[in-house]
Amino acid sequence: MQATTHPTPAIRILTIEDDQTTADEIAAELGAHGYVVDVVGDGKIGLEKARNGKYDAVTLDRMLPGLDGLSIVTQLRADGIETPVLMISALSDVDERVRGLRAGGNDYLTKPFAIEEMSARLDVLLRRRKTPGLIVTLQVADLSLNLMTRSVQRGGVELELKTTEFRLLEYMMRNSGQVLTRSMIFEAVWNYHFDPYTNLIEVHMMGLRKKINLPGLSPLIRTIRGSGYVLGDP
Amino acid sequence: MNNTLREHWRISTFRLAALFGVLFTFGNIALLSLIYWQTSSYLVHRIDDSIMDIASNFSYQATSKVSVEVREAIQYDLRRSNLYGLFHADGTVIAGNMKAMPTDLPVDGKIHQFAQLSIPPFALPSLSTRPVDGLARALVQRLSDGNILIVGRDFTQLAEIRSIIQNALIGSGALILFIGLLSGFALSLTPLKRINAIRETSRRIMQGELSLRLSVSGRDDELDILSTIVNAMLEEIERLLTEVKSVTDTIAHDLRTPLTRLRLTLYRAHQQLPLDSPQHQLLEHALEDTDALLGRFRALLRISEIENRQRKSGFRCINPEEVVRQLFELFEPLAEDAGVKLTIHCEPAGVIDADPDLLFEALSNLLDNAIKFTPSGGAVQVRLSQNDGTPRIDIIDTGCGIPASERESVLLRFHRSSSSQIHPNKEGYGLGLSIVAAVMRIHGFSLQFQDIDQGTHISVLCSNEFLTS
Repeated sequence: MQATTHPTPAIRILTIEDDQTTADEIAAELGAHGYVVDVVGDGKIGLEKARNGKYDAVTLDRMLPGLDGLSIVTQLRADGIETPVLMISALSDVDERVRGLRAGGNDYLTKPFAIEEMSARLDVLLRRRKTPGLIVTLQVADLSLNLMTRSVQRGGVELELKTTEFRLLEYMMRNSGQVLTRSMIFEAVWNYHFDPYTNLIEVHMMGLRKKINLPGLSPLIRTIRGSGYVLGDP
Repeated sequence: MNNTLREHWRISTFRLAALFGVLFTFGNIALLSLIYWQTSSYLVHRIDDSIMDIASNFSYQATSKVSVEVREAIQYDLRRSNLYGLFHADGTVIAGNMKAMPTDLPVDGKIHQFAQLSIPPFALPSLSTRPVDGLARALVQRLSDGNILIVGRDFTQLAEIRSIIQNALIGSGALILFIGLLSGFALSLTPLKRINAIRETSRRIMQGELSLRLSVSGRDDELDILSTIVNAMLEEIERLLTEVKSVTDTIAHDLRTPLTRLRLTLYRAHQQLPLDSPQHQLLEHALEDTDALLGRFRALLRISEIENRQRKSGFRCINPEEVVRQLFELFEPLAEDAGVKLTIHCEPAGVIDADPDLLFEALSNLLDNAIKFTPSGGAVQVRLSQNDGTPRIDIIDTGCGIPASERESVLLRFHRSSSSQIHPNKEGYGLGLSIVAAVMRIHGFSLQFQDIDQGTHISVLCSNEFLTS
């Protein structure tokens, strides 16, 4: 992915991760996205920094020296700090995920992970803060989706979508311009947390694509090779 | 409490009580028999003495003289309990208070006992209605002229004593047996209750609540001793399991970090290399292979995770029809893309106790395989029905099928069907079915391969076997 320039003030990320190599790579990748990254290897210091520094998001390892990730996020939420937290853990058990999210984590990623997956999830977390709560119409370029009437239009032409396709499109429009990985889509649209097999998501995407890419109009869904999909103006 | 008699019978207290009841009855029989025997021999002795006494009054001369003696004796027998009879050699009566000569009586000058319904003048009306067999003992002698003289006494009291003892025996025996059974029943109630509690606790432990212990009543009886032993064993098992789990977790954690690093480093190298570099392609392959490796690694962890988890934590009462419909919705485009006709058929089947996420994952695996191994133009059907009162889900495809010899082993980790080697481009067959097997195991559901002519027919029988047993 290319480094894009962000307008000042720069987005600041706190990475609390005790493995130096992983931390360096996370910092490098997020840096390439134009974020300013602070890396901390200890739980207690991490909590202090997350409390006092003005960060836009925190990536948090579940197991840390000093203070574990679960306690950090619990403490942050108890202090009323609502910074989005992406939890990264070597514990993949569903119960662990539920525990992490219940403690106040906004998303949960299991090691070993692909860094593209992580940055995609972080992007969505950062963006989620800005989107207003109640909206009736989602609009991306000449594509509009009405949540009340459950109708979809492309350039004024009414589109017939199946329930699943509608939910998929809604999720993509809510996160337009962002890379959405297959597992993010599977979790958000179907609410299941296992590895989606083979090309399940691809075929769903293909169906949706066929319906919204009307002849003569620019394709709105792009495939990012090896990572996922983006909906938005090319 | 609705324990069956059979359950009570299994309790040792009950058996002991019943055994003691039987033993007491035998003891009782022995005791009363002894009393009867002693009493009767004493009475026989006494009566024989008095018979000899009476007999000594007779002269045993000519019949005419003896018949006079008999009449006199009857006259002087104020208590009217004596028996006199003078008979011709052919058995006809000459004199005395006996109606007839008792049959089968040897005439040998000895005392014999025979049935004799009381002595005629004293056969009271009340007595005659009583079905007590009269008894008598008498000395039977032959006179010098060949006639027979019988001198004896009524001995019905022996029959009466016998009947009293018999009644006592029946009465007390029944009472002892009844008390034995009743007390056994009562005494086995508590052990049964405790055994049921142990059964319930064990069932929950088998379902994964390893921290549970059997309750100890504090009575220090055999059940308590056993429970304590089992508890110590459970303690050790739990400790070992936790140890194994923590070792596995540590290994997993230790592997996850280097794997994460590997992926990160490869990705960075890939990003930094100019697109036209010849190594670019190589790194891309390395990244793809690493992703496949990570996928397998995650699947492996997932299997042990499913096997290790607190079994019932995610269980809910769910409608399998919803799961099947969601499955159809998710897989329809995939089937369409593969040129396979996917259909579902749902009959009302009732609800099941299951973890919806895990069940969906398992069924996804099965359906994914069914679609994957069915050539274009084929069909896959998911059928929900009821079988013996429990829901049953069938997945039937018209694909290449699994040879009968391989059906067991496909559920093992890393197994790849030989027929799947025909489709080398179809990935992921190895671990998927192991995940299915693990999910089935924690639910207590069973997986069956049905014989069909073409393709594969897998049935998931949703009966929570071990959960209810």
